Order: sequence, then C-alpha cells, then structure tokens
Amino acid sequence: MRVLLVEDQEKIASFVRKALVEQGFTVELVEEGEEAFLRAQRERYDVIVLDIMLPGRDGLSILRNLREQQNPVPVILLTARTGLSERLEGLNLGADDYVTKPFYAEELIARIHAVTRRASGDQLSILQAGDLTVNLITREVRRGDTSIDLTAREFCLLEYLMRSPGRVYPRTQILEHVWGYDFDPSSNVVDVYIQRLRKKLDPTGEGQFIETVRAVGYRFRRLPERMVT
Amino acid sequence: MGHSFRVRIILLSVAVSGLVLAVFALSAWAFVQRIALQRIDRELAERMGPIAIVSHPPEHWSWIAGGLDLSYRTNEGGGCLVLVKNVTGEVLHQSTNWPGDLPADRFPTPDPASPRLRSFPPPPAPPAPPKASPEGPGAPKQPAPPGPAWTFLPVAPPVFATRRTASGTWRFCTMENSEVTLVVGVSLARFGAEMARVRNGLLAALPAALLLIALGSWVISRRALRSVEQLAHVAERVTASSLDERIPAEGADTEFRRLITVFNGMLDRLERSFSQASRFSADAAHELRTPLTILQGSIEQALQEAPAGSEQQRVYNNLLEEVQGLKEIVRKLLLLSLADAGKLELHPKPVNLTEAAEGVCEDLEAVAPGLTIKRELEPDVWIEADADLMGQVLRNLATNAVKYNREGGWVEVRLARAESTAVLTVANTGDGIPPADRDRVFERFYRADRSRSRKVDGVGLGLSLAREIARAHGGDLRLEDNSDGVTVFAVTLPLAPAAE
Repeated sequence: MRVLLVEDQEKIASFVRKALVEQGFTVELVEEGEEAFLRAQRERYDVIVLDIMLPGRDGLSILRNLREQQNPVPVILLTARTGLSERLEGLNLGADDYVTKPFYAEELIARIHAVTRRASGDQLSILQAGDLTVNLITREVRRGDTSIDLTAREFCLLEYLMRSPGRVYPRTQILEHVWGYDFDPSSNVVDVYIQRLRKKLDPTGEGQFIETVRAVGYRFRRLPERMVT
Repeated sequence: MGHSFRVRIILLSVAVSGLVLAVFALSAWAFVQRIALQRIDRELAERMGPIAIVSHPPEHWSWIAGGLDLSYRTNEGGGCLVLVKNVTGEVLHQSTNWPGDLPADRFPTPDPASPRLRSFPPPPAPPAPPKASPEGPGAPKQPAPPGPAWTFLPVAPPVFATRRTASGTWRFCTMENSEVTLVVGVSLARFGAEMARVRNGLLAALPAALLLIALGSWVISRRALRSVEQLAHVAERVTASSLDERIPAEGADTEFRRLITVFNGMLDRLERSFSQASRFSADAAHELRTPLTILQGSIEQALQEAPAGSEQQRVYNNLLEEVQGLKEIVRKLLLLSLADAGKLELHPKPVNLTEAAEGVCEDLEAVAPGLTIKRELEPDVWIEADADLMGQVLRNLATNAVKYNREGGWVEVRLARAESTAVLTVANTGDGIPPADRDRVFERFYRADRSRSRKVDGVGLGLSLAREIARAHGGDLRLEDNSDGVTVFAVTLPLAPAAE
C-alpha cells in the first residue's frame, strides 16, 4: 500500500512514518504544500494522509483542487481538535476521514485500513476471531450459533480491541476511544467492562479472547480467520 | 428603588428654593408692613401737626378731638382716640371710647432734649376779623373760629407707639408742645386685615412655587440623567462575549462626554486584555499540541515495541497516562478560552438525553460498585446538542459524584421535562460543599477539598467548562442546595423543538 504523508512537523512525520512502515506500507513524506499537490496529481497513491496546516499550500486547498480534478484518491485529514468547522469543511470538500491531533498511530492505521477498504469497494462488515463473529452493520455478536447480547459500550470496546489483534491497548487509550474524554483515568471502568465482556464472550472461561497485559492494559488474542468479507 | 439620585435632586432643590422663597416672602411681608405703618404714621402726623403748632384754649379740645375723630371715620366705622394733657399732667380731654385697659399715662414722650420744631412760617396777615374777641361772651355752643391772634408754639417731633388692648390694636402718635401733650390713636384693625391678606397670598403662592420648582427639577434631572442611563444600559449589555459595545459620544454634553470617553476607554482596555488572555490560552493550547502529538506517538510506539508485561512497558504506560492528563488540560483550557471569546463551536444534532444519562448510569455502576446508583429518567428526552460536549458535561458530573462520595453512599441521576427545558440533576452523598465555597465551585482550578485533592485526579476545570458548555447550549449548570451532606448539581437545557 502506497501512502503519501503530508506533514511539516518533522517529529510527527517521523513517528507516523515509522508506524506506517511497520504496517508494511510504502510511505512517501512531503513537508510542503505545493510539492504535495504536484505529487498527488502526478502519482497514484492508495491513500493520502494530509495535515491541514502546511507551508505553501494548505491541506484544505490541496484537497479541494484534487477533487476538482476528479481525483478520487482517499484522503485522511490531520486536524486540530478545536477546528470543528475545519473538519466539517474538510468532509464537505471530500475528505474520507479525519484524525485529530494528538492522535495515536494505531488510530490512524485503523482509519487508513477502513478508508482504503471502502475505496476498493471491499466493505468490512464482519470481524471474526475463532468462532466469534462480530457484524459491524447489524451489531450482532455470535459465538458459533449462540447470539451474545452486548450493551453499546461493550460492543464498542470489543470492536476496538478486535481491530488490531495482538496489539497492546493501554487503559488510557481504550478510555479515550470508547468513553471519550473526561472520564477519571484513575477509575477502573475499563477493567470492569473487560471482565463483563470476558464473561459474556466466554462464560466457561476456557479460552480467553482478551488477554491482560500486566499494569498496562489489554490485547485481543491473535487468532486465525481474522477477517471475512 | 433605593435612594434615587433624582428624588434627592428634587428634594434638595425644593428645600433650597423653599428656604429662599420663605426668607424672601418673610422680608417682603415685613417691608410691606413697614411701608403701610409708615403711611399711617405720616397721616397721623399730618393731621396732628397743624393742631399741635397752635395754642388752643382748654375748652376747645373736645371740638378739636371731635373733628379729628370725624376725619378718621368711614362707612365701616373707624374714628380715633384722642387724649390731651397739659404740662402738669391734668387731662384736658379724653375720648369717651378710650379703652379702659389702656393707662393714659403710658405713652412714650418725646425726649425733652430733642429740638423743638420752630420752622413754621409766620402766619399770614389775617384778613380783617369780623369779630374782635375770640372768646365771645354770647355763643359758647358755636365753635368759634380761631382768632386772628393765633399763638404758635414750638413742637417736638412726633413719637409713635403700637398698643394692644382688649378692643384691638392701636397705633398712637404723641405730639408735645409747650402747653399740652396730644395723643391720637387709630385702630390697626383694617391694617391688620390687609396684612393678613398679603400674608395669605404669600402662603398660597409658596406651595405653588415649590410645586413648580419640583416639576422643573424633575424635568431637568431627567434630561441630565439621560446620559447616565444610557451609560448604564450599555454597561448592562457588556458581558465577556460582547465587549465590543461602545457608547456614542456625539450629542452628549461636555461633562458627560468625558465620562463616556473614560468608560469607552475602559472597555477598550478590558476588551484588549480579555482577548489577549483568551488568545493566550488558545495559542498556548495550539503550541502544546504539536509536542503532545509527538510525545504521545513516540511513547505509543515505544510501548508497542517493549516486551509485553515488561518493566519498560509499564514505564511507558505511566508516561502515556501523564500525556493523556496533559491533553485533557490543554483541551479544556482551549475550550474555555473559546467559550470566553464566545467562539465555542457547537455541532448540534438531536441527542437522546435519556440514553446518554442511561449510559452514564451504567458507567457509574461499573466504576463504583460500592455506591448505590439510583436513576429516575423520563424516557425519550431529546435535546439539540453537540453530542461530544454534552457527553463531557454528563461524565464530568458523574465523575464528581463518585469522586466526592463517601463509602457506601449513593448517586441519584434524575431527568425530567419542565416546560420547554430538560432538567438533569445529579445528586450524591458525601461531605458536601462548604457554604463558603459554594460560589467558587465553578471557578477555574478550584478544588473543593484541598486536603483530599491530591488523591483525586483532575485540575478543577471540569465544572467550569461544563457550565460554559451548558450555557453555550442555551442552558445552565447550577449547584443546588446541598443540605445534609448531599450535593446536587442541576443542568437545564432547552428541549429539541420537535419534542415540544
């Protein structure tokens, strides 16, 4: 997968590039707006990760011009948290998604996967791990033939952990994604929900789907047959 | 209304001008009285003078007195009192109507040392008298015309006095020549009545004048205070988010123009410093975002690369938690500065507040198994809100309700409709908020319990921000009465229009 990363902050670009390369992506980094626009016109990328604040031409202007030229390349914007109108404008201009700074590389990677899949018409609707299937559209969770009833919060938590099996999810990261901001980070809300989820997914407790990473957080066990279309 | 400046101005001007008017009226009255009395005195002297300068035989005095009395008589009565004494004090004549309570010897007499007036012209040569003797032996009844050989006497200047008797007040004039002392008194009854009329007129005019003055000062003060009122109106409109209000100085009077200029200048400075403070937070937040992104991304990477469950990974995790805390502070500061500047961006869409509250209750049960979570939620309460920000308000209240609770306590979440608003209250047991601090809970960086605050996370921006968010949605967040160790926060929000 070929990614054009447009980001003028060297250090941000560096860790993002590293994380993407680890995912097996080919990353081209550009730090200036005009250059980025020329490259995006000239080359074919699977996705462009575009910062809005750029020297030269700004991100929104690049996006607008690309869409005016009927260039369908998927674009993910890197925005400021408060720039709500910026985000809305970006989506209106044809951005496929956005990630707000400060963001986790994991989050960006998940968005890139989602966007590229959508672009190729390869809609992800079902996550699978062993005999556990999670339908993202009907929000149905099954273990073999038995249906499992999850609350909205539990579903969100499960979906989040399942999108990168084997990856360690620290509690704070889970808290931010599933609960949003401003939930007391010292609280044990994540642990309580993980316990519930474990009980519902695996009442007998023989094969755990969710592993505890001591003092840090949790991860979903890497199992075969992860994805089925 | 308290002490109104206008009322004070009116009272003051009425008091001052009332005093001036009273003094003026009093002196006018005294002046008129003096003039009138002088007129009476002059008349008395004019009538008595010709009598006093001539020597009269004692038996003539009753005629002379009769004539004088007649000259003072009018249709309504009148007349005068006459008393004549010779130098030895013997009474030659006394009017029959002389008041009994008025001693005949109690009149001031001219100073014996005062010069006697002798300036009378010598009598013209009398025409040939028809009769030789003034004291004809034949006709004692007929008033005999003064004889041709009148004897002129020197007269002392007249002395006047007012005497009050049972029958009325009298004005007396005493004239003295070398033979007799002549005292004539006229009644002051008419004079008194006239003076009473003047007095009544003044007394009637005074209140009318005062009323006019009060009316005038009312109008004047109204005009004068119009600028002040205008100033007050603008000052009322000025809030943190509308510091651009200014008072137009055109058309104002010089004195007020200065006040307006000073006021506008103050607003200028206020606006500038306010926007500076607000921009500072915003700038600081923006500046912090890049290093935070780098920090978070780098730590995330290091954490993923570290062996699972290792000590390094734990250190990275702790760092990540700190970064998360920093992110929260920066985010809240930025939102607060935006709210201060009136630029809090909302992305409103219909939100089911009941579901949101339900979710929060669910979280509360998970987070605090030791607490009883009570809920009383009216179903399907829809509001028009920014879901992210509103969720934050709810979570903030819920988090506080747990943080400041006591062991084995309870939290109660209620949601109800009240007219066109949704009212969500979160009540919890605990130490409660000290009365002295009640007004301060919404202050930034305020912490209810200093001794405990170290154990409790957060920086005291949550409530302040929650209230700003509620207000930006057209609602409010209030601390209700917290009696008996129960703290109650209430959020009011306008219902979505469709739900009404």
